[in-house]
Amino acid sequence: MPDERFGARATPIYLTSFVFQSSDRAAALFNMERGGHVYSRISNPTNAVLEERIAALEGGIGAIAVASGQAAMHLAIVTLMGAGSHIVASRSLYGGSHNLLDYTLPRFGITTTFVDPRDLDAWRAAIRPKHGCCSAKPWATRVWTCWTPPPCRHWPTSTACRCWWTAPSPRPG
Amino acid sequence: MACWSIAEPSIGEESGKFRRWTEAYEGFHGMDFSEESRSPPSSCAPAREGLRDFGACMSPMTAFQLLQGVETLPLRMERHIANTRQAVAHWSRTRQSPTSPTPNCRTHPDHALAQKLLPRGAGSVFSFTLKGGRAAGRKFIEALRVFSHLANVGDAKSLVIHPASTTHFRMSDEALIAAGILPAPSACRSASKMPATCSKTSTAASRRRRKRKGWA
Repeated sequence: MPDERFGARATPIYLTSFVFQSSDRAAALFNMERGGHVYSRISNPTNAVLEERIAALEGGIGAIAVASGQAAMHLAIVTLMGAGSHIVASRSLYGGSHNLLDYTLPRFGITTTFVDPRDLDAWRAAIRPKHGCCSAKPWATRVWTCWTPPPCRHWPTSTACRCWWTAPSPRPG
Repeated sequence: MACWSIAEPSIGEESGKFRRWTEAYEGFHGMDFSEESRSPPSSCAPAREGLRDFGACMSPMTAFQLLQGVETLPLRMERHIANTRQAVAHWSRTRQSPTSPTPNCRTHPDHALAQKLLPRGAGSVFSFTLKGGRAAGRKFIEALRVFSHLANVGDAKSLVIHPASTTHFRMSDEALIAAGILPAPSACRSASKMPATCSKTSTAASRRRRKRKGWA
């Protein structure tokens, strides 16, 4: 839809901060009592349009636009995990992702078990009580494996483990 | 119950999971993301904590360019996949590759799953091994004209790369084999096939690694 004020057909680029209409409104925005933008470190109207469209395309409930693939992976990991957490990941990840999980994250107390992405029993067996997330690419690029994450209800729920897929769920198109 | 709860029932307090989102978070004046946030905690928490603390935000200029790109994404993906089918068909005719290079091929072990998940085509990446070892791989890659020798996917340009010596070179031979990648030639000399390769990396680290692996 064209923009209401000027009829712009493309999404306007908001390279700006956002003036608070009142002190009360500023406090409400910071306190998340109202929706709106404070400054682009956290949200931005142009980015919000992209986020809504990507969420719609992927059938997701929300999206966050970040500066790079590494930033996305970092954000997922630091949101879900802390020192002592554990990840189960596909062996067929991109080499850069493998480096992060296998060499860098252990320095921060986050360890990873790599499993054959086709072996669902191996995924189940690798999950530990302080589990953080499972990570895989549904379609690994370098050596092709095609793979789909099972619904979470099929995963063990008797422990306090948290199960979260950092991979997008492919849908039949 | 917050309005997003219908979409994310597994996150609520009663599930006993995601306690960081269902208990007071002192980094946000005691906020309970699962009760107080206006959006699902799985997107609110990474934004309000992650973007705030780790500097991962996207520039609005980049967001605009991606918005423009998304509008033609279906057209570009169709062409990517059509071009890939042609390249794979040409490869199969001329080289008689011993392996199925992509799940688009009927003989690939994941073909049935790929047909179900990605019926319009399983992407534009394919992989293969070359007979003739490292020398043949180097000659092959350096002779290509349309395919550029570079490392990142996601561009409109066609590219070629040898993973074991470049993108995946820090992985151990065991990890490479587990990932389905043939490691350094020294580790597979007994095999009749050796990977195509064209490594030109010359950093001290890669020289050390290549020496350790018996390449140099």
